[in-house]
This record gives sequence, C-alpha cells and structure tokens, in this order.
Amino acid sequence: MKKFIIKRLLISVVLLFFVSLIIYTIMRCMPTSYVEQQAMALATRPGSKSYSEWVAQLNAQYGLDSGVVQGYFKWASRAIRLDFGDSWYWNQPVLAKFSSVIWYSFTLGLVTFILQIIIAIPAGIAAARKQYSMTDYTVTVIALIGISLPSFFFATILKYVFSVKLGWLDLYGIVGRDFQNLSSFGKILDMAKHLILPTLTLTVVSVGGLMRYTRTNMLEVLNSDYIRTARAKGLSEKKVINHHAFRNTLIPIVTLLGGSLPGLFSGAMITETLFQIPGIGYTSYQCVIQGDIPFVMFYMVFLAVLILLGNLIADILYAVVDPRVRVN
Amino acid sequence: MSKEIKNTNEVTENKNEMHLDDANRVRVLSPGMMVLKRFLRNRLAIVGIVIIVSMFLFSFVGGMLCPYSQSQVFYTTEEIRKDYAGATKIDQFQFQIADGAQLPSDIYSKILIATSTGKTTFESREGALYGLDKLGENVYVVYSLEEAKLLLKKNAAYQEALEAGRNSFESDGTLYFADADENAYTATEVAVASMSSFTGYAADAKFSYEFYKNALAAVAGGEKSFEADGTNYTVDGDVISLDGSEYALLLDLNFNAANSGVYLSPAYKAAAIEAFESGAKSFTFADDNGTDVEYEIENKNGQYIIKKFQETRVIDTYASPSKAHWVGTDANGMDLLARLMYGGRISLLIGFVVIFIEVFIGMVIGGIAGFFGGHVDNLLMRLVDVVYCVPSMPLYLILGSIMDFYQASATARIYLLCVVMAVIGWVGIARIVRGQILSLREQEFMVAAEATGISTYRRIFKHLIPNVIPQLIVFASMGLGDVILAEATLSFLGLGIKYPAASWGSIINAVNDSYVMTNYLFVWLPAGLFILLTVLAFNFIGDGLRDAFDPKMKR
Repeated sequence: MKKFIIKRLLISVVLLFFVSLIIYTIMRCMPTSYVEQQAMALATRPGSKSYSEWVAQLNAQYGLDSGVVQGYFKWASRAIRLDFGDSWYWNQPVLAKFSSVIWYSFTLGLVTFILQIIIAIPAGIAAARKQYSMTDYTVTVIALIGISLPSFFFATILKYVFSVKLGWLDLYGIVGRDFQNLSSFGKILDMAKHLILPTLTLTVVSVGGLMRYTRTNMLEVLNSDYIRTARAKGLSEKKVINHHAFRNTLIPIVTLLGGSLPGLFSGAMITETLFQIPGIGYTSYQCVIQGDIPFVMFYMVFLAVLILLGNLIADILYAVVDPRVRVN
Repeated sequence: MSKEIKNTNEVTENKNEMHLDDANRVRVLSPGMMVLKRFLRNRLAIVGIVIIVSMFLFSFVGGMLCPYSQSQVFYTTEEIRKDYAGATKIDQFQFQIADGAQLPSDIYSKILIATSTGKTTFESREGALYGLDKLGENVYVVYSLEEAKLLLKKNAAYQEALEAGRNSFESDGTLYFADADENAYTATEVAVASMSSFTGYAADAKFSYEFYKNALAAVAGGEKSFEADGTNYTVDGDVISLDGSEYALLLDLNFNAANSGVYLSPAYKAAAIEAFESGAKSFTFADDNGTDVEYEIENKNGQYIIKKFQETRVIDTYASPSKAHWVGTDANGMDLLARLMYGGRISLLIGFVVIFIEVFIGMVIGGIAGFFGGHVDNLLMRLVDVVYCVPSMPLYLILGSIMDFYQASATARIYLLCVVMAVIGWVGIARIVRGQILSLREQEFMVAAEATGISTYRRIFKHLIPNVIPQLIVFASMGLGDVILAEATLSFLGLGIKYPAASWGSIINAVNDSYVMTNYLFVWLPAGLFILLTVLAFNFIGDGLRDAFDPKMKR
C-alpha cells in the first residue's frame, strides 16, 4: 500500500511538471498588455525613464524576457518554494489574494456537495429499485435535465424569478447594501442569503451526474448473484436493499465522492462570475480577462494539483473501501 | 416478459398447425436489428431523436427558408420630436437683388450703420459708393453711385423728389441720386432692402425684382395697388392679391424649414405667428391630408423653434415578437429567429466537428495504447493523464482572450474553437477505447483470431474496432451535448463565437445587461431553451443507445 501510494505520488509529480510546462507555454502566448500599460503609466511620471526602458525592466522583473523553457524553470524554482509572485491585477501576493477568496468558493462547494449527496443518492437508489417505473423515468429525466442545463441559463432564470420578479434575493454580490450595519450573526445570515442562488444553480447542474452514477451502480448490484441469494433466503426487501445492496453500492460512490473532495476548492468559474461571488473562480475569471499572468498561472496549476490529488484519493479509497482490490 | 408469453400464446392459438421449432415462429434478428429494436422501444430516446431532427430541420432547412439573414439589420420608423421649422424676427436687412447686379460683401453692416446714423450714402470696403433711397419704414432702394456733374438746384425732378422725401430722381433719361449735402451722382439700381420676407401662396411662386420693389414701395407707402411686370396687384395690409385671389404675404419673421423640401405655406405661417403673439406653447395646423398636427413652440429670445413629432428611421432594437419578426429582434436590430437558426447551425456543427476529431484522435491513441500495451501504453496513457489535468475552462478563456488580442475573424474563431475543444476533449475517448481493447484482447475470440494467424490489420479493424464502436457511439452522443454546452458557455462569456456570427450562447450573452434580462425575456429565453433541449436530446439518445447496446441492464 505504502509502495503504491509513493509510486502514484511520484507519477503525479512528473505529470504536474509537464502540465505546468504546457500551461506556462500557453500563458506566455497571452497578450501582456498589462506590462505595456504599466510601463506607459510609469513612463509618464516626472523624471522617469523612457517607455521602452520600463517595458524591458518590467519584462525582466516578471521573467518575460527569457525564453519559454528558461522562464518556466525560473517560475518553477520559485513555485516550489510556494512563491508565485505578485498578482498584477490585485497588486498583492498571489497567495495572499488566494487565501482571502478561497473560503467563499469552499463554502459554496461544500454546501453544494452535501446537498448533492442528500438528494442524489436516495433518488438514484429509488430509481434503481423500481427500474422502468414512473419514479425511474422521473429521476432519469430530472438527472438528464440537470446535466443538460447550461449553468448560465439556469442562473439567469433563477435571477429572473427570484431577484427580478419576486425580489426576494439580490442579483449580484456576496453581501447586501447595509452589510456594515449588521451584527456579526446578521452578517453571516446576509452572506448565506446571497449564496442561496449560486448554491441552487450548482446543485441542480451537478446533481444529475451523481444521481445517474448511483442508479447505474445500484442496478448492477441488484442484478448480482448475492442479491438474488439474499432474496432467495427470504430476507425482507428492506433488509436486502439497505444492508446488502446499499453497502455494495457505496464502494464506487465513496470512491467517486472521495475523488471529488479536492474539487471543493476549485471554485465554480461560471456560476461565481454570474453571481459575482468573490471566490477563486470569479477572481481568476477577472484575472484571465485582465491578462494577470501570475495569478492565472497559479490558478491553473492549482487546479491541476486538485485533479491529480482527486485521482490519488480515489485510487487509495478504492483500495481502502473494497477489500477485494486490496487482496489483488 | 409476461407480455411476450401472452403474445406467443396467442400465436399458438391462431396457428395450431405450427410446430414448436417452426422457423416462422421465431424471427431471428441480427444483433444490429436487436439493438435498433431495443432502441426504438425506449421512449426517451425517441423523444431525443425527434428533438434532434427538428433542431436540424429548424437550423438548416429553416435557415434556408427564412427570408432574413443572420446579420441583416432591420429598421423601423419611430415618432421622434424633431425640429420642424424655425422662425426669427428679421432684424437685418433682407436684400432682393436686381437682375445682374452684385452687392458688396459688407453691405449688411454698412447699411445698418448708415441707416442708424441717418446717412444716405456709404462706402463699401472695396471703395465703391452706395446710396440709400428710403421708400418707407425700413424699406430702402440701394443704388450704386458714381459722381456726376449736375446742378441740382435748378432741376425740377430733384425738387419733386425732395418734396416726396426721395433721394433719387430721373432726369433726361438718366437716374440720378442726391445725398443730403446735395451732391449729385449717377445711380444704378442694385437692390431693394427691407426687413420683411415674402411668402407666395403657391408653393412654386417666384417673384421678380420689380415685384419685390414695387410691392415693398406700395406697402410702405400705404397704397392700395401697384403694378409690376405689366400686372396689377392689390394690396390689403400685408397681403398682396392678384385678380382677387391671395398671391403673396409680407412678414417681418423669417421662417426656415428644418428639412429642405418642406414648404411652409402662408396660412401655416399665419397660424404660427398667431401662436407666437398669443404666447401659446403649441398650436395645431392641418397638414396636406387635412389631419390636425400638433406643433410645439419653443421661444428663445425672439427666435422661435417649432417642433413636431416626426417619423424617423431608426434601428429596430429589441422589437417584441410580431408577424414580421416571430421572436423579435436583438440589440443590433437583427431578426432573432434567423439568428437562432444560424446559431443552431453553428452550435450543431461545432458539436459534430469536435466530436468527430475527438473520436478520431481518441480512437487512434487509445487503440494503439490498448493493442500494443507495455511501454507504448504506459507512455500514451501518461500523455492522456497530462492532457486530462489541464483545466479546460480557464484554458478556453485564455485562448478566447488571445483570439481577442489578435482580432481573429468570426470564422477563424469557429475553426480554432473546434480544434482546441477537440484537442482538450479526446482523452476521455482514448481511455474508453483503451480499456475496452484491453479487456477484449484477453477474450477468447481474439485469442482465436490470433491463432488463425490473420494479420494485425485485420485483427484490429475486423475484430476489435467493431466491438468498441457501441461504447464509442454512446460516449460520442453524450459528448456531443457536453461540447455544445461548452461552446455555449464560451460564447456566453463573449469569448467564443462573436458578432456578426451567431450562436445560441452568444444570443443569451445579452442577459449580461440586466435591463435586457428584466425586460426582454424573448431575447434570451428561446436560445437557452434550445440549448437545453438539444443537449437533453443528445443525452436521451446516448442513454437509450447505452441501454440498447447493453441488454444486461434490462431485467
């Protein structure tokens, strides 16, 4: 087991190296209008150097003057020491900005994750128990609609209904207008209120996948021999489903959920942007639009790390949960 | 199952003669037909097929039938309050110039100075001498003067003119002018200056110089009639009549129409003047068709501006659904239905092109990895892992902004988008193909195929690939939905398909303006529903195909 984990970790490091190299190469293609803008602003100051000198200096400062490979190693050697430089757009260290916004995204992700589990697993199991029944069709159709819904469209409908027509919730933002005057409990409530629509959007859009996954796996389990044996034994249907079938269905589901745990930190770019929740997704969206290379570079590598971590956790969990895998 | 048994029973009852193993009893279906039969039994899949077919018809056939193109801008006429005419009190002399004569450029200022100081002659900037002969209040005849030797004192014509208060007289067939100091000049008539304007009762009335002069003289002198160009006119106040009907009107206001080609009739002017004098804010006047039109008056220090609601051609933005535009128009005045059709083309095309490339790359790489195994497999799968780890959404956004920076054209964007999405998306297919081939390789039929010694090529293409295809089709049909969704998201963020090309995502982009979101539901709702329906339909079909290919899941 230890050997397996170490091997996977080493592979992940190698993968991360290549992924970040690719990302860095693409980032270098980005229009660096920021540098030119900054140089222009600096050059207009009294007694300042000329524009071209500023451009050269700024490029050197940000490592944009060297070649892609050289620049990458310069970036990587700093990144290993967790020094991702200063964000251009936010004018503060990338990690400082990151740690100030990540908790919005995490809260959003966690609530969605919990809701998703609460809704999807019972629904998936109910659908599988009565295949081709009305329940099954309803669950399948709802799941597919959730998968097919463009998040921006659904978010717009929610905004239209709840913010414009009913006026219950605000259109944008994480805090209301009179946030500063609220008590600390009121502040939390206010933020929670602003997270309702984004959470709803994310839940509806993502619940379908888990629902279908649960249904498929439950069906597979229900068709297996040991369930037939359990039924033949004369066990009550309740016991068959809850004890024999459900536990076995949990194996792939726990693996999947464990693998998606790191994803709680990745932020929801589209939804956060639509509701202007200042999480990591919205922050990086602004950075992409503004050409903030240090921050976007960090975010992309961060996402890659999360994906690798997710795969690793899923692999390990698979071995932990299912004794058959361990034996092999 | 029970239903089938019942059916068989019925068959047996009807055809008692038939043997149990009669070939007619059991219809043998090929595997493909079995799949098709199972697929067609799936109601959701049929719904999906119907939706997709109608989407294709809508986008491709509808686009051809639609009379509008996707980037055709529509205009509408709108009632806008615009300046119709202006009226100014005439405080400068208006000149009616005699035929063939020319006025110096500084006549306006010179004549004002001369009349206000009571002089009868003035010199222009060029040094030419001019004389003013007063006909009445603010009515002068302007002469060009040259010094002449004439004894005025004994001239009877001069005495006569002097008594009449005139400065010009005719003597021995020559026109003379005498100033206040009794210097005589030979005079040539140049113009008549007055502070009033003439309006003809007929739109095309043209007045001769002689008419102007004599009319002005008659009005100033309070005469009842005058003769000009051999015609007799009668004067009644400010109105000059010819043969009993009104011919021209004299006004001390200068009217100008805001648009050329608009004729302001004397009756209209009279109505306007009446309104001016009463200090009214507006007045009505019947137009050519006899309908009353309301005119608003704005007074700016003696300068009147008359405004009227006029029909103006404007771009037809956010027009509500109507007969001409079934779904209305968007912010650029383009027909939304046409844009939905052309947008559907792009969305569907991108979906299919991307999936085609993805399947191609995925099959080649996954196939090679699965078939050869070992180091090749290891290497290729690590490549798959690397591509899988590249976060797609930020990457698309970056590429979008790079395209923005290089100002890629609308078509170039579409091609590039296809390629990039395919290059990111093929890894899923490669994994499926590899996994499938790995498991197939171990099966007996592949061992048998190897034992018979057929070529690698035949083994791959005749035995392996056909067994992978079901999975591929399922994955591709579900992937189509994802690709359409991704493209719509990108276009929605304004980084995918751009104006003037349309895509469903870029149509919804309009909701970024919350005013549009709130007030023009018809702009964004249809496009969103189309995306939802299309993606849903592809998912239904994929789901149905999966069930059809994998009968194990059926109980």
